[in-house]
Amino acid sequence: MEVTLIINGDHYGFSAEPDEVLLDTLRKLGFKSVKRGCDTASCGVCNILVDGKLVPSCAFLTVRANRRNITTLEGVSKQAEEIGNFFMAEGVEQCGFCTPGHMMSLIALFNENPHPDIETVKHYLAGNMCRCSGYEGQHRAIEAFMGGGK
Amino acid sequence: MRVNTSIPKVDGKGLIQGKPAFTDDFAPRDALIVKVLRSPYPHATIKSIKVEQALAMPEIKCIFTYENVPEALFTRAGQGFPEPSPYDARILDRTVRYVGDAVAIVAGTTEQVVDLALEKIKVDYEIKEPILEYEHALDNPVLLHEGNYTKSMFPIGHDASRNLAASYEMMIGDMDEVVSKCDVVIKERYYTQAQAHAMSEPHAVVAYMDVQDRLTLVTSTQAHYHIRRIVSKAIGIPLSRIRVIKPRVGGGFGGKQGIHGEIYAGLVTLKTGKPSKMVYTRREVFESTYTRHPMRIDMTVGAMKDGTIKALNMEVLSNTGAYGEHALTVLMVAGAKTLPMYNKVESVAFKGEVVYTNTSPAGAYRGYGAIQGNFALESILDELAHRLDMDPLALRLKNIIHEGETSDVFKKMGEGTEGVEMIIESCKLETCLHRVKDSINWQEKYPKKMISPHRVRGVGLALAMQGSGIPCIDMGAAVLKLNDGGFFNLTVGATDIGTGSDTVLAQIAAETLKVPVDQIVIYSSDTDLAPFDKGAYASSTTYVSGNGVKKAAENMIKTIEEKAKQRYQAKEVTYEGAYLLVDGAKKSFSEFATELYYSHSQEQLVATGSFVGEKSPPPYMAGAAEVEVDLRTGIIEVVRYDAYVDCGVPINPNLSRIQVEGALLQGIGMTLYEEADYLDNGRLFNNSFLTYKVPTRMDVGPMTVSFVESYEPSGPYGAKSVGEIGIDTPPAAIANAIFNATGIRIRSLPITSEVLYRAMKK
Amino acid sequence: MRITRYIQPNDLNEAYERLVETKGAVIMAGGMFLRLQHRTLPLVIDLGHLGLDGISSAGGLVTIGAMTPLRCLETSQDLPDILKKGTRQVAGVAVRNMATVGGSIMGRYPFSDVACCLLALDAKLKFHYHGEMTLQSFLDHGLEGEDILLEVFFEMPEASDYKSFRKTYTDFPTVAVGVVKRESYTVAIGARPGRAKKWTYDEMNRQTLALEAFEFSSDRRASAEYRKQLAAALLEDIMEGGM
Repeated sequence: MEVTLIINGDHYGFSAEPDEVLLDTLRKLGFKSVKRGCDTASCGVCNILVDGKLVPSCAFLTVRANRRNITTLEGVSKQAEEIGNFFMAEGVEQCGFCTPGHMMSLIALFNENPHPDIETVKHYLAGNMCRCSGYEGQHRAIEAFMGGGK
Repeated sequence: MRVNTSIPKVDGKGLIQGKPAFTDDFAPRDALIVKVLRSPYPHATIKSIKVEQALAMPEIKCIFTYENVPEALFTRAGQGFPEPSPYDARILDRTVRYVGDAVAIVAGTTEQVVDLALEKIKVDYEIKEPILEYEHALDNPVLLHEGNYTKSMFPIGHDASRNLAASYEMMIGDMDEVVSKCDVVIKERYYTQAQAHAMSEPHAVVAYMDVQDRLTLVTSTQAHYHIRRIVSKAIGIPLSRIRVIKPRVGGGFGGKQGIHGEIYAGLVTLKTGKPSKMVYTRREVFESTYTRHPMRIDMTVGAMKDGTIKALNMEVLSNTGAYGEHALTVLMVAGAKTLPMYNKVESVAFKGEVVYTNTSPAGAYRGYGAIQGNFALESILDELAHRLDMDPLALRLKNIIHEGETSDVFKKMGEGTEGVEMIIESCKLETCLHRVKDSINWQEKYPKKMISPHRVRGVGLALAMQGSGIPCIDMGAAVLKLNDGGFFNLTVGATDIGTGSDTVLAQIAAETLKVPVDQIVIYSSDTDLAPFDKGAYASSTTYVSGNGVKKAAENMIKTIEEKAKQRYQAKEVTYEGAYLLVDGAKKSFSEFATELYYSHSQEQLVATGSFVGEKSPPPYMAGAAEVEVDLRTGIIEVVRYDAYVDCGVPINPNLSRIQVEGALLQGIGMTLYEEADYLDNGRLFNNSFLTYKVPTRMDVGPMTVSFVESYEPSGPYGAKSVGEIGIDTPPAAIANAIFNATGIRIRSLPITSEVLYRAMKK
Repeated sequence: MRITRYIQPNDLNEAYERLVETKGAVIMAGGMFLRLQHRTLPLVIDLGHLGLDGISSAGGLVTIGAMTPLRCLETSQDLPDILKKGTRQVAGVAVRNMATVGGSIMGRYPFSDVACCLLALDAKLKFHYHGEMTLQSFLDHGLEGEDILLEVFFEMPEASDYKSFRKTYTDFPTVAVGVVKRESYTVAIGARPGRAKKWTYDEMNRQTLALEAFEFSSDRRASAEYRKQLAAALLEDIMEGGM
């Protein structure tokens, strides 16, 4: 099926099987920040925005995304860098595989709610798995970013 | 100072931006997709396997079965050669030994086509009786490796005719005699379970033939040189025709310390000449890579009334699953990296057997036996304290090892072989214990406090040690190259799997070379372009690879000074980083370096350094858990976990802290939540994240990690390693806290709420 | 999951016609569970363009469109506590932005938090062809033939609460308890492990905690006895929380 995908503001024509998912399409189109981590939409590393909403790209059919606005980490690099600097100050981005998914979740959250408390942030990120860091460092970084800090 | 300094990771920016950096990000567009047909049975032989229908599909480029692969026998374990693991595996075998074992390798142009081809392969299995319970495996009439073909590279207590992958025993002192003189003797049995690594990135490999017609493997691995050697041996091509590159790796924790898809993709690319790739599904990662070795540990402690521990005896039955990788070494570490903490005993003994079962192979996993052994040892010591009516803290203080001391276990028990005698030159275990006692407010909270009519809180603690590399075996090397302008390329074999070793090693080099860290450009883990390193395991990178880097840097300084003497015709040259002191006069180092390329005494300066440890100085840790238990339901919540770690001088405190925090949560996961759960038909029930639950950020209260610095003279700038120590304390600390809160002693993991509920009801 | 044909009709009648005339056709709402199926779907009918999402509240009657994502329930100001709490721990936010109320109901999943909450609310369903029926009836008996769920509705209660036990925060519930207070108290228990069931009590007291009206059984997650003990504790916590 022929679809038009609007990815980070640019239009892409793409021919997709009905069961192809955005995760694979995006990676084929060169957006390697979007990762595959599991088979069950459980880990969060494939998170992207569709029309501004955080979704797991492994569960989103490409044909369903026709003419919709898709945002990957490549498209929000400035916003990501701002948060990312605080991550780097803590050394939290360990293996980095889960980092894009976390960044997309945080960007979606801050777009929805510019001043959440840390508990709201944690709840929002509950579906983002990180096996390397133990999460404490992430929370330190996010609190520092939000201007609080412990 | 560039060491003992928290700087951002050198790859941090790229990772934050999501730049292509991982194996699958580098797959060529036309790479063939490689998939493996896997056994649905835990134990069977293949009577016939028909691939004609699948091969008839034009998009399918090749299929391998046991009938057309090389027959070489090897071990999948990524360990130094000769490996201490039995050679019991082939690329594909006629017998399949666990649900998920490899049956056929298929390569085709698209994933859909390969999936279809997998369905068209007709396999006729003769189903055999499986062994699913490891306590029934030894001397079971059913044999996993029948036919007398397995072998070990040196004696490891291997006997396939008994389903024995490996075995070991040792005794120091006369155990029976010492025990007979003890006031109190406690013997208990503990069980630990199979845990999954659950790293973020599934195993992945990309293979292609390069322009020199050599097989190149880009793979998500912890041990690229071992991969090269095993591929060479298994496929039968010379080492020199293989290159292995490790890009960014999305976590390993031991699960990538061995060969996985590399042989399959390698075979396909060699056969077809085309690039190929294999990315494991999460299900394959759960079922067909590794788990942690489940263990049954019979622990005996003998002590006097005053709390002096006289005897420690650990007997282990370990389950290595269908293949024996890491069988002996994990077994030995259960004792080697726990028992020495209590070095004042008069007798210490260790005995263990590792058996084969028809379940997913067990392999390396952070802690590597120490976490299992620690659970038994640190639990029974609390049981002893309780019996003696003594504060568990006081019992530890009375018996633990200190700086300047040694333990006879060090000499006896290595990792797979004899050990190495070692005087402990850095140990702040006692300080860690005191600090954690204060930080968790032990005085007030021990043993318990009722929070509400049905909620109680208790505190519990555990101590741990680990190692810094395997002495006399682990080697890590570095090469430094001086560039125009005065910056350095540092190439190392050390494998950064998310640990930040690229950054830490660059810091060590920068410190030695007296330059800012950004003057060190590090490139790692490429068997062609970077020197040897055994890989990321055994907590070796900071200590072993770090020492290699320091040596290389020191050698570089010598080389620079020699060259400058020659270049300037000087009597005396001292290198000072930004400048050279040439007979007292300052000369710009950057100019010197540029001239070396283009105009004066031209020469490319290179220096190398290799390091093999003569000992394995342990990092130490004291962990204290505060748990809240709902007495109606047994629901356990870790409300707080405090930890104090002595890893010598942390080269990068931020990165050391995150390593420990991450390991802690994995340890808590093993204690309360995680378990590879097998059905009666041998299939792994929880083979997805829907059913295998790792703790989320919402499940555990604040974990606070602090460092107590010691100085390890044999380590680079006082450092010891820190990769594994963080995982060891939670099982016993939490079991002890639960006992203190409820009076219930649980001796098997995971401690689920229902397990506690039932125990409380009794 | 393999899909042979995919359509996204703009017309409800067309969607329904295609559903009933094509053997093996399935509805795609959030698609979260559909993708876990190991079969080939000859036709997938995406309901995304039918305007079936949205929450409205008028005169105490709350109506939720079947295609409303669970995240909207979680964050809505117009819904009772039970629904907001009941959706908070269904996987993560990203999944909840896709998983829908309709999908949660139509699957008749025993572990569905949403179904348990709606059952406690005595919710009713409105189908395109079958018209209105109680959620209870649908959960117990299913449907004869295919249909498209349009909306679910219920009366706003006086008070409500929801608690569940999950091994980890984003896990399926081992057992879940929802309580709704109107003139009497309706207690619904889900993941027993069977589908949610409800019972109504004139008042809640220690006797209620015996949960005599409910059946529990054992599975890999928990034994029957433990489930019951958990449910009783959760209910006790709800009662102590002021219901």
